Amino acid sequence: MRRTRSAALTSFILVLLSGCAQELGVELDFPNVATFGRSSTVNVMVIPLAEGEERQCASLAQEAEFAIGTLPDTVEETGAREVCEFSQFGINLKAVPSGLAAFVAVARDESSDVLLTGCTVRDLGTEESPGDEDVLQISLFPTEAYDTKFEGMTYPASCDVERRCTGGGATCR
Amino acid sequence: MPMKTLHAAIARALFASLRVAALCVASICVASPASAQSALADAESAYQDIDFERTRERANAALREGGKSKRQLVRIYELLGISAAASGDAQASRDAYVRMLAIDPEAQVDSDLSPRFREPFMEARGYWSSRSDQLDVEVRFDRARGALRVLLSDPVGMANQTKLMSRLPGTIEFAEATRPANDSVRFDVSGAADAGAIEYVLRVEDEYGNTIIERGTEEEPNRVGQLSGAVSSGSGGNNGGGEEDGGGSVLKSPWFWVVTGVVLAGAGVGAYFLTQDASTDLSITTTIGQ
Repeated sequence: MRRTRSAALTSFILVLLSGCAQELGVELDFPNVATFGRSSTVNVMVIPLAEGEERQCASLAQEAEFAIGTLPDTVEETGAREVCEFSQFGINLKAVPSGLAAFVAVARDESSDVLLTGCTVRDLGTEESPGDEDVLQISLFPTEAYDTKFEGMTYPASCDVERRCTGGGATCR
Repeated sequence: MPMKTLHAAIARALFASLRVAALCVASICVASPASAQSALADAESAYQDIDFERTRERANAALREGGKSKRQLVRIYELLGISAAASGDAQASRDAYVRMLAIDPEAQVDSDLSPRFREPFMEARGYWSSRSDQLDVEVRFDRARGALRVLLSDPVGMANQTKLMSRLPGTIEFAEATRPANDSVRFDVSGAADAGAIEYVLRVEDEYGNTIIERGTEEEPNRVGQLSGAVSSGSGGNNGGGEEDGGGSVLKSPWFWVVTGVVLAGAGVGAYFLTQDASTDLSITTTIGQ
């Protein structure tokens, strides 16, 4: 009977734990090595949306292109972190509240010009617990500033993500 | 003059004049610089005659003429590769093969060629196999900006301009635009911000206007984007309805009731947490061109 009770208690705790914590992988998808290499920092912001506001994502991505800092209504953000921190170690954003939200990413260069933005909508609360292969992908797209800044310029073919992040120096930026 | 001899003479004269006419037509065709095929056909002819110097000269002329398809361009670079190797210019031969393989990574050269001719080709293959990138293009739908984004990878610098024809699904007319080649080129598409998808035909050209990359045709354009973004993730479907064979014996077991009670209680508490203040921890990383 004691074994029965301890097994029951263990099951109860496991069920409780599984109800509390969820983890989700997020991928910032840069179009190519050049766009990654030319970026200096990335900020990922979480902005709650009301039901039916899914299409706001496009305007949020555009708004982010011209915003000076954090977008209004942001509830969680990574802050401007080195792009290589994301690629080498991954950045954690803890305890993002459930519910429908826009995940907006903004990549800037060393002059703080916005080079890329991206937005994805996800409802964290109602969707099933994410599995191992389930990731939230934020596709980043170059801005007007990027096009103007790098028009006609070729990114060095010798640069890749590893070189950019391990002492590629100025040539890979 | 006997009648039979006269007939034979007339026949010979007719045949001779026809031959001259045929040669004239042929020479006009070959000499005409306006014909897209002429220089390439001339290069092929010189190659058949084992005249490598002329093969190289005419293949170069064909390249500069422009307007060649990918297939024709691959052949031009092959002829340039062979003829340069025959002239002892191994570097030029290798460069030609590098470009040939950029356009078509599966391209081959004649296996009967001597090692002197094949060596630059093998070096060119080695060049590409040692690289992680290749001549390639990706088209992305930037819905936020109502545009298509063309991302070009051009390791040997062959691309000169990008031509894009685009339209909304269900429409007939394509809008056409040309931009200088760059690693990232934006093409605004009217009405794209509210569209689920865009149809497009893409052509990347070299400095002479030859096609080095093509995606889609006017008859069968490529499509980017989706009409419906709502993808429902499938439920597990693991209901656990039937426990085990054995009928009522399970119901009599105290284990059954204990486990059922715990699961129900846990599910209730779990549901409470999920709906009240459940949260998610995000782990953010990067990818390139997924």
